[in-house]
Amino acid sequence: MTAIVWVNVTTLMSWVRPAVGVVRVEQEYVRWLLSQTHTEPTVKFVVFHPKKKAFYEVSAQSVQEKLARRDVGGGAATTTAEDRFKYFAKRLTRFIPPAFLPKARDAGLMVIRTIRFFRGRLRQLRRPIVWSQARIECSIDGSFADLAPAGFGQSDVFISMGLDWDQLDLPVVYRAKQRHGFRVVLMCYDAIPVLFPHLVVAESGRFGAHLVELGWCADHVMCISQSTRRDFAAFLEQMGGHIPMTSVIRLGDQLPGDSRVQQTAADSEALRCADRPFVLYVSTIERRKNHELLYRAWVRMRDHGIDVPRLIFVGMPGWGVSDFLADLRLDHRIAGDIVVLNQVSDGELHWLYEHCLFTLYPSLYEGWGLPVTESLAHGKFCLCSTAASIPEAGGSLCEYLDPWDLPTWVDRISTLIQNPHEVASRNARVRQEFAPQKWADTAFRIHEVATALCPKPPSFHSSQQSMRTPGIHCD
Amino acid sequence: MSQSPRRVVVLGSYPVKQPRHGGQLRLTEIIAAYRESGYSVVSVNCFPASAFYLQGGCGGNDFPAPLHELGQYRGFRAPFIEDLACGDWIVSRPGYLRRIRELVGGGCAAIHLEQPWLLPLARELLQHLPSGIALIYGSQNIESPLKEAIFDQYKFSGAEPLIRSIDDLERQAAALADIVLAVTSQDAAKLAGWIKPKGRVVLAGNGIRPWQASAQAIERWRARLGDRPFGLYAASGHPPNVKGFVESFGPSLAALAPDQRIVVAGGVADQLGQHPWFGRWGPLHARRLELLGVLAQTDLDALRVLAHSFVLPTTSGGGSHLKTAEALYSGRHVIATPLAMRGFESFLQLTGLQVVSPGLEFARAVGQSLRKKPLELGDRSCSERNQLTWSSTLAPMIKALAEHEACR
Repeated sequence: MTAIVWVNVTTLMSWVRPAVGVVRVEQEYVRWLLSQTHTEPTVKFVVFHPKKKAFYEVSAQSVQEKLARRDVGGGAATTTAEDRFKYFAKRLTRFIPPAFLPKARDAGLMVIRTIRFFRGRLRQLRRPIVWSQARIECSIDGSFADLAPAGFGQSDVFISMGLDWDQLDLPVVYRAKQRHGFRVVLMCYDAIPVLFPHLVVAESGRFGAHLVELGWCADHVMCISQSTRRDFAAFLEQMGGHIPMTSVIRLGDQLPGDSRVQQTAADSEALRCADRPFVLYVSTIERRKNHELLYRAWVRMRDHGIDVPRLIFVGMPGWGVSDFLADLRLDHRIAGDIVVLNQVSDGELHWLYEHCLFTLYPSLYEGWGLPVTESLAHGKFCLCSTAASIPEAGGSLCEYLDPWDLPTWVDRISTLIQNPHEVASRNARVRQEFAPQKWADTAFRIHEVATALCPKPPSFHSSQQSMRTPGIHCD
Repeated sequence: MSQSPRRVVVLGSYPVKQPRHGGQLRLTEIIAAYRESGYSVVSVNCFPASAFYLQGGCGGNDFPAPLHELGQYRGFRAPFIEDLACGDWIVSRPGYLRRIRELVGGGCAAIHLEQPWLLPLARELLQHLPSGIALIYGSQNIESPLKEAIFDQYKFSGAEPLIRSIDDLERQAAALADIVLAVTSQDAAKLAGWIKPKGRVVLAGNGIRPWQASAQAIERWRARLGDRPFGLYAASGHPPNVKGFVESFGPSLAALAPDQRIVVAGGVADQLGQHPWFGRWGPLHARRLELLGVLAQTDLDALRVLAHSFVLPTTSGGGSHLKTAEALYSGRHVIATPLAMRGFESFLQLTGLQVVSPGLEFARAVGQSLRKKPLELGDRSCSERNQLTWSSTLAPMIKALAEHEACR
């Protein structure tokens, strides 16, 4: 019996915003697979239906189309709540008698106004992904009713690396695995919600349960850093859970938009912010990311009379930062000095990396530190936090500071912005020495882990099979 | 009114109409053992009028004491002392005392005081009865350290005078009794130091009454719980039961696979669901624990038949446990802490029994047991298990009373 690698694409098929780290990993693995497998049947795609607790097969064509749509939008959101309401309202009108249409239209307009009113408030609370979005996305290619249930076999491998704590029911996977005998490869991005529950929106009890189930379900767990691997194993050890085989996968550094996205529109907000020199901090805006340290540093530097460059925060506002964002808006001392950019496309982000002076990354804890390596891949030095995996990501090319030590950050940032030669020399060293990891190499390594668990590896391995790039270390 | 010398007056600290927790079951079986041996029994019970006891219904000789009158003992106010306060409460009610004296009549072979709480009542009765009536003190535990542990668990400080009072009460009961019943050899050794010169300590351990579940109940529970093997923990809401479960499984139930679970029956289930330990990893525990609460006997019997393993997570308290006897008798895998086996040391080599220290090791052993095949019992194992029936374990009590009567 030929083995099949079943790839869970639930996150990719449901995600409608710019790719965050987790989404990007799944997206780039799938992209690589599609570039390899268009003639081969040994890789198949599935989505998980949480209510039916079942997997359904989606065609490679549907996945390809979804990727294409994401690429055209540069990863930026393609639909809004309003768009989605309009879409449903239009479909609903088919069932409304013509005599009632004017009243229905008035009611619809009232709903749209209500959506607009609440949108600003909901944005703070909105989870990045909701199942209704997943249904909308899947309905583009047909509803679940049109999809066939996935037929897992004993020789198969199931691999999932998306927002599994939110979208996947691991006990269902475990039971299916017990029933069919297939192997499972899963991903651990971090253990932060159980280590620092006060710093995240995720409920630590729920996330802890996810990590425990991860240990029980997976034959192999890929971790995105040695630090994460240690955290994952230590947590399971402490809880008494089952510790599966683990390995470290190095994530790609290059924005997928580098070659595919058209030149950023001249009137984009990102370019408008670049009317003066700027430094960049790319990260979701949330307490753990420690944006507040940089805000205080900028205030302190202004107080000291230093001519500061603009500080651009690129990222989606997350949980627990409404007071902080209000400070940024209201504090006249840094008016115009700090800008928040949300919904930035891959192309725009690429441009911002290219044109910034250097980057900052004061996060309190990370599973890896993708923006650090993205910065290096764009030839930009990063002033980083010493926390967790960040020194692993940045290696010897970054400088590390204690994320709690404001005076030292003020001192180092002031020195850098007042010494452009030092910045230039550090950037030059980065350009010279940093060896970027292509996403294709990461994808190949992920697939290598999956196929290693197949009794007979799928036959579609391309010429890339001979490629041996560093990045995976198995026990 | 004719008084039979073959009469035993049993003073109990709970109702026995619908026995649910271990103490009630033991008291019920003691009464049954006397009756089966030809004694007539007058069962007089005085207990706190809690919802738990009142739900089960009261008999004609039951004296429920209002809870608000049991909050203090001889001027000392504290929680968890309702049982202690019952003894003083009943003797301070002349009407109730008169009624009890009428029930007892002019003579009996023995007064059986089960647990020390009603010692004031036993004293009152003995004062008005002819001499030569045997006093049998049934000690289910050494109570004072147990109560101390409960105070500690709930962080109630300053309870030393109460602990001393309980200790005194136990010592006095043992010193007054002609026969002292112990449930474990450790308790027997301790009680032997307290008895009067002509008194004796008899080991009469806890046992089981063989159960048989109805096919209907089994099918109903099989439909509800599915075919996945489960471990069973059935215990009352007595605080050390919750503590024992939490301490025995360690930080969480992560050692159990996603398809494994523990079914928890009895009052302990409600308390476990509200315990911070459960809430810390709520989603994980919700998947691995089936908290059923207090069940009818038919349902409990069905669960015992369906269980793959029995878990005995005991980490504190004295005496021996009925649930240990039930687990050992069940013919299923049993994972027990060393303390849970107290009083059952002769069964340590029983097939399918695994004694494991509390903590991760215990949790992992439970997970492993659920992956094992069901036990297949040989003749020897069956005969060993039959020693656990109440008729076997309480036989020394009947024998001791008969010997006492013969000497008299």
